[in-house]
Amino acid sequence: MSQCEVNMSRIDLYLDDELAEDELEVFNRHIKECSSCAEELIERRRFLERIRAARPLYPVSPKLRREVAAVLGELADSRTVPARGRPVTRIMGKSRAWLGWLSSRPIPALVASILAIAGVTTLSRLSLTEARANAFVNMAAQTHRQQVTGQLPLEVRTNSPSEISAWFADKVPFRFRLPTYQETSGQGQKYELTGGRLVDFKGVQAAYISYRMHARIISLVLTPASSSVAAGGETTVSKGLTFHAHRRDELQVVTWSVHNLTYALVSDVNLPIGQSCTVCHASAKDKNLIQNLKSRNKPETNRNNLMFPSHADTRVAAFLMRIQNTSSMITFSVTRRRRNNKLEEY
Amino acid sequence: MAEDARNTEPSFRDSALQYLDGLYAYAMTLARNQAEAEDLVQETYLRALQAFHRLRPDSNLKSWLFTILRNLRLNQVRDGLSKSRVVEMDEPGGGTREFEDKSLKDPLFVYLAKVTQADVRKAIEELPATYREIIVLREFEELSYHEIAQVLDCPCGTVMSRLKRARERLKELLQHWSLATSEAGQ
Repeated sequence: MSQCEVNMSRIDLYLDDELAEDELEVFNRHIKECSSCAEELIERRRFLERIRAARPLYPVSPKLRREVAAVLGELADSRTVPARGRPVTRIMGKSRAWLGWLSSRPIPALVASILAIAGVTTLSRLSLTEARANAFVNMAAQTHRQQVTGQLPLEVRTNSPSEISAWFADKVPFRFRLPTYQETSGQGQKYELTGGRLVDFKGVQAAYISYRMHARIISLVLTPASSSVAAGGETTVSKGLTFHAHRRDELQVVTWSVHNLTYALVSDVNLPIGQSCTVCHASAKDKNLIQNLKSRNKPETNRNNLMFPSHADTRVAAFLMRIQNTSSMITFSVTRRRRNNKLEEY
Repeated sequence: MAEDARNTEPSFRDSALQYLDGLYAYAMTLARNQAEAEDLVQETYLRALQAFHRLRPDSNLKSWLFTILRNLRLNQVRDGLSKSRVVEMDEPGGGTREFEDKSLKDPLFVYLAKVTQADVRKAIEELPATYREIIVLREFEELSYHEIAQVLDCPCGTVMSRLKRARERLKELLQHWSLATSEAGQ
């Protein structure tokens, strides 16, 4: 084989940076001396440059970019990343090897394996939602802790709900209006709005709002529902809303989504979800709301949803938390129900 | 051990995101359907995150991610989960017969000057799947022969020969179009 033939066969390797050092030396020396090889090299290089200039072949949508960033961030943040130790490599292995592995198993093992694969696939999808939900809970708990320890000072200090709402109006990508205490409670004031600040969650501005009840801080975090999700934990359904109560060490974090916003309420109240709400809400006005709830809901259909396991023997708590991000009001009310299903103030 | 695992995750998160564009392009090359490609990419990251602790420190993260994606796709095709069902993984038997007329070969650079980015994309999409994916992995993702061999699970020699044929086929497609365009314009 002539040197030209050798070099021609190595042009692609040269362009792909795959030549060994000694081959490269020979190649370069020949190209300097051989015009036809040099011409061929130039042509092939131009061709590849033109091909590569078509990059990106398929641009990534901003939506996918956000979602992948969320997956990476949230799963890594989550303490419930489920699959460490799961047989993921079996799924990812060579298809032929995988089929061979299956065929070598006895039937029960085969069935178990198939179920395991289905389980892994399902769990992977479930874990994605759970991980996203957990990431939001973790962020809310962490923000609360930083607020309690003074590491995250408030950017606006006021006890006026309207001032808080106005302050956030041009700072977060959503609108909301906090209710006044009287709107939500109607009783002697137990808690007080103290202020708020911006917090970042997955690159999106979220609203942090702080309340104080005696020496205790209660935190409310609001994010667009597109960037966070409420899921998992102890679930309670009321008035079409689903509340998720999570424990994070000493903290209780209740999350829910409504009107394209996802909320997290954080406190160190160490009570079941229903009872914890009575800390702030045990008023005559709540009773009105409860009566309103009673008139709208059928007790027969709601009773199970409203039960909390730890109190099922003596009472059922109805938990209404209604938040309208643009209209008016945050309302919490908790009731208990006697065994005869009559509502009374709790 | 759990602590060690947590410590590794931020580096994975930071490193893995830079391959998103390449993974998506590869997913589109295989699935040829945006929704399926996006699902493939997300699933790839999910699986990678789950198995990251098994990756040796000296392993190649990029080719590992591409391998996961490809295997996920193979599983989908095998299990009949793909909606598009357009992936043909075998090389065409016909090779380059269609365009073997040497008279179509234009003088140096002439056809290249007429080739637009859109032409290149269209030509790549017309390639058989095996050629398409190796072109994407090499020309767009700039994986080495060794890395491509890992992803495709084949010897380096196969990568070299397949890449050579894929380039020839691509070139012929573009030359053919260039000539057709010239004739139409006359």
